[in-house]
Amino acid sequence: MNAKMNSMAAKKLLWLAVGLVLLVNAFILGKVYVNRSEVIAQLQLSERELRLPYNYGFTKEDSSARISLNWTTPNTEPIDVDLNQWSWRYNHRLQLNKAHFSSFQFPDCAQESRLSQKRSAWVLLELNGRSYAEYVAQAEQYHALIMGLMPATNTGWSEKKLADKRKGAIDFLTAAKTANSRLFVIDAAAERELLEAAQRERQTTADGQLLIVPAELRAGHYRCDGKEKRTTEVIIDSLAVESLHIPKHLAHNFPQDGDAKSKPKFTAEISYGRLFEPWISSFHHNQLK
Amino acid sequence: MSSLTKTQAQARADQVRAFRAEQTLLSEQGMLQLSADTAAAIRRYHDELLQELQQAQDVDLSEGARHLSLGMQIVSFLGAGALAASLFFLFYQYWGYFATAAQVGILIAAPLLSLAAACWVRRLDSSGYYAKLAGLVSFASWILNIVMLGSIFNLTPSPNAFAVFALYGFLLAYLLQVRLLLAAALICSFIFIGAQFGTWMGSYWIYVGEHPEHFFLPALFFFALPLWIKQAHFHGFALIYQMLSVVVFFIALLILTNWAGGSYLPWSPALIEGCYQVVGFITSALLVLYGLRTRAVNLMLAGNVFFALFLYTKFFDWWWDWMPKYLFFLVIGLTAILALMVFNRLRKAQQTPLQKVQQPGGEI
Repeated sequence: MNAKMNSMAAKKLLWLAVGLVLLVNAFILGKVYVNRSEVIAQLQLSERELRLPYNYGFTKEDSSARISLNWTTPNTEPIDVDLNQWSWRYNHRLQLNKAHFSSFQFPDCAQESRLSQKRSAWVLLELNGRSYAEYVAQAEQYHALIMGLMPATNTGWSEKKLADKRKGAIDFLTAAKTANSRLFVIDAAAERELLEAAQRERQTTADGQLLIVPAELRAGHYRCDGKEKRTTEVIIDSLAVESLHIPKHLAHNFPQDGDAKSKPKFTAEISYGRLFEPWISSFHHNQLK
Repeated sequence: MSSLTKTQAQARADQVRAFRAEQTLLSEQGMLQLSADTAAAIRRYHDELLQELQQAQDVDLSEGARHLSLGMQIVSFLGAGALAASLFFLFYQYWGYFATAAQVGILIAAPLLSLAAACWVRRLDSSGYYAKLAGLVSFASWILNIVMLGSIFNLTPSPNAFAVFALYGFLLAYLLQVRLLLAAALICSFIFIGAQFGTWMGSYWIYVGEHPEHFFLPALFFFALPLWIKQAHFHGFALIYQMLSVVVFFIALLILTNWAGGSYLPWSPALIEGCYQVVGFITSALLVLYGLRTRAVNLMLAGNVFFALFLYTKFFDWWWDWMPKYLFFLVIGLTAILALMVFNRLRKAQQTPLQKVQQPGGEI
């Protein structure tokens, strides 16, 4: 009797396990279907906005193809001769307006050290729009500033040091115009509706493509240090989905690992669906002849 | 005998072996003289009983077999880990060569096929070791299934993945009676519940470990679960529930006694740490008492270990910089001697009722 009951319970557990596997997979695939049933935005990106994976030594072990979104935030630092090009290019700090910042309900500064400053959020992405134009203008301004300096008269720099600085400024301007990402995170809020209003406003005044996607962020480092201008600053840690899988039918000419050093050129069309999850709808590797 | 759990069957077999050893000793000393017929009848009964237990529950009938069983458990654990890793790397090595539909098909089939294999092997192998291996591979396939689908379709990471890992882990653990799977399912549950609490409190779920207070309620719940739903038919399950809950609870408490930054309490850091220290001492002492009362040796030991950890971390905080090192370690040594004396008294108190019933004329 007992053995029979055990056998019945085992059968029930077995069918529950099978049911769980099928149900969860059906749910995931259903979610994918719903997401991809309507394209809400399509971005034409190149190697400027997409980077190849680092792979961490698993290149031989991983046959898949992936690329990651490469984005930055607008620079708000003043342009001067000591500008840090690196942190400018990979900037993740973003100044918000008070309404958007307060939507995250970060704790008071008195409690700052003890409470989490990390939040899930919505961010407004801008591709090749006003932010990028301002970035190029700032690079030009920096270039003009450096080119206008004279050795050892108004700088205190030797001729060699100034020559290096000038080369750096030329490279920086060239990179801003031809190589750096044109994809900017320009705004963030806890509720999507807040960003939709900002998106409508931006659309009437600027070129470029705008898109709202989920992300994660935290309060800025300087929030509680008394520097008033930074009190509504956040740091965007990452977009909710940054790494994109390239399906086999699109990956046949995906750059190989060795190509990473030769900076391969490629373009990809990224589609965003109803649930704001992206996928790659086309991929072209522009092989150098 | 099929109604006995493995623990009960092993205890019965040990009882028979102990009886035989004592009977031999008493016979050699001339204190017990059974007739040949009675001795043979008892021997026959015990032989049949042991054989039945061995067939039903694969119990160990000698010390050598017991040691080998332990070795087999360790080897099967390592084997399961290696097979899971192999499956993971096998998929990574070749998945780029398959179209999306084939990838999805393989991912869904992997946990189902390994589950079927586990059930099939369980019928053939009474020891259950091979079925457990297949069960662990099925659990690894399930994790791979969910993680890789997320990766292929660029899905937003969600803590719900841990809920489905936990559910499948629980089902497999009860189906195949694998304690390791139960432990894995419990860990996934802790992560899921902690992440869910974190989301409700407004933070991003991935930073689940930053607020140890998230783990208190699930730890208490899983500790109480085997008291509420009896696990008598599942060998060692109650212990896994309670030990893992105890470890999670006290590690969370230990973090908060030294780092108030992870607490939601609106008090000063010193007050929060002080309160958690008091809670730590009281709860670890209560766990020792609970372990003594319920004869749960492992829980009592865990209580001892955490009580000592709370005490020594406090000593370190108070005296490490202030005292000369020889004095610091002398104090540690003296507290260990004090603890030894307390345990000795408790031990004597435990043995007194037994000695009373063993007085001449008393009944055992």
